[in-house]
Amino acid sequence: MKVAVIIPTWNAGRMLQEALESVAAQTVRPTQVVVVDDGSTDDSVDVVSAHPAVALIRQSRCGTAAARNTGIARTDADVVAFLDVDDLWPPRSLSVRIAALREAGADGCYGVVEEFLDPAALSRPVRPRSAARVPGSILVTREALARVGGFDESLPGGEGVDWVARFDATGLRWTKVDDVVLRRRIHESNKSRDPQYAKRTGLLEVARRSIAAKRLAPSGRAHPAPARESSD
Amino acid sequence: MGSFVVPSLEIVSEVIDGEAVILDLRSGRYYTAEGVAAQVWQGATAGMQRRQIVESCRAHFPDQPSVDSDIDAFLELLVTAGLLLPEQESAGRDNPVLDWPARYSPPALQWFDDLADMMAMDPVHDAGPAGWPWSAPPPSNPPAS
Repeated sequence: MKVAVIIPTWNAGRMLQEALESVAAQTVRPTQVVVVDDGSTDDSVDVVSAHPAVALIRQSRCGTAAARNTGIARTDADVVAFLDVDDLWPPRSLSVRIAALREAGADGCYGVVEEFLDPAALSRPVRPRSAARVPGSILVTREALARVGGFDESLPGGEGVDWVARFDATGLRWTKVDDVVLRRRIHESNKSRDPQYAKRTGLLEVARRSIAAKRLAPSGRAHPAPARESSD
Repeated sequence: MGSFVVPSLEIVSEVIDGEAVILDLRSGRYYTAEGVAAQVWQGATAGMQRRQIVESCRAHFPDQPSVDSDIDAFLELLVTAGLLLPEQESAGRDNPVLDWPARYSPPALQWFDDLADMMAMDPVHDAGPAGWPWSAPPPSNPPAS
């Protein structure tokens, strides 16, 4: 089974080095590691060149979704995983997900996400570990990518949530592992608390689309846990 | 009940084409309210008094006997869901003209938790305009505040 890892980056050389080291330390080595440099002007290219097995694609600044899509187009692997440049994988991240995906015969696999504070960030609480389907924690089959399509480049953000919502709406199936598969870096400003946040970042639009997709879905369709609850 | 406030900046909503979509980033849960319900949400979040909302609705649907109790039940539901907080005295905010639908249906709220794992997890990395983590090209104009 060929496994590809796609890492979008933009001016994040220091963190890119750490991300690549965490990929190199995987107990199952990926077949392809593709860094998509989205117009960096820092030392990102030098960082990648120190890792001869890593492919580098350079493009002008188009955003995270477009960078991931560029990487998807470049790979012919059977399964694809995504790592954001500021995040890290524990050494068994790929192996446990690949094993679970195979065993379940599922279309995608995800696991537990653990947050850690960037050394440069002010101290703040991190969320407790929890299973979540963010781009860095999911591993999906090529067939699933073909059916769901790429990340929506028109969204100002929230494109990972949108992609997962479309995966669900397509009727594809997840399997989950209880291991930590992603260590997610918390920056001082990860979540802006301003009232426009969800509009600015596309999350409200993603919610609207998801509601519309549920309306269009034929009744009785096997949506995973629609979680529509009665009110009383 | 007098008027209401939205109790957290992490509750965001938009009313488009007669549908209110409400997202609670604290839980990752998102809601939809259509028709009469969307207008009640619009009015309540703009600071209208419960009485003003009911009167506006009654004026549009004079033959509907259940307007009062329907709207009360719906506002109660929004409070129970943590989306609204009653306040005794209205701060006298906006007083929007509510755009009631042509046909009356009792206000209802649907909610979904299927994307909560991501919605509540801050899926967007937005540390700054000079490099990632940042999810999109920086806007040419700063967002309106």
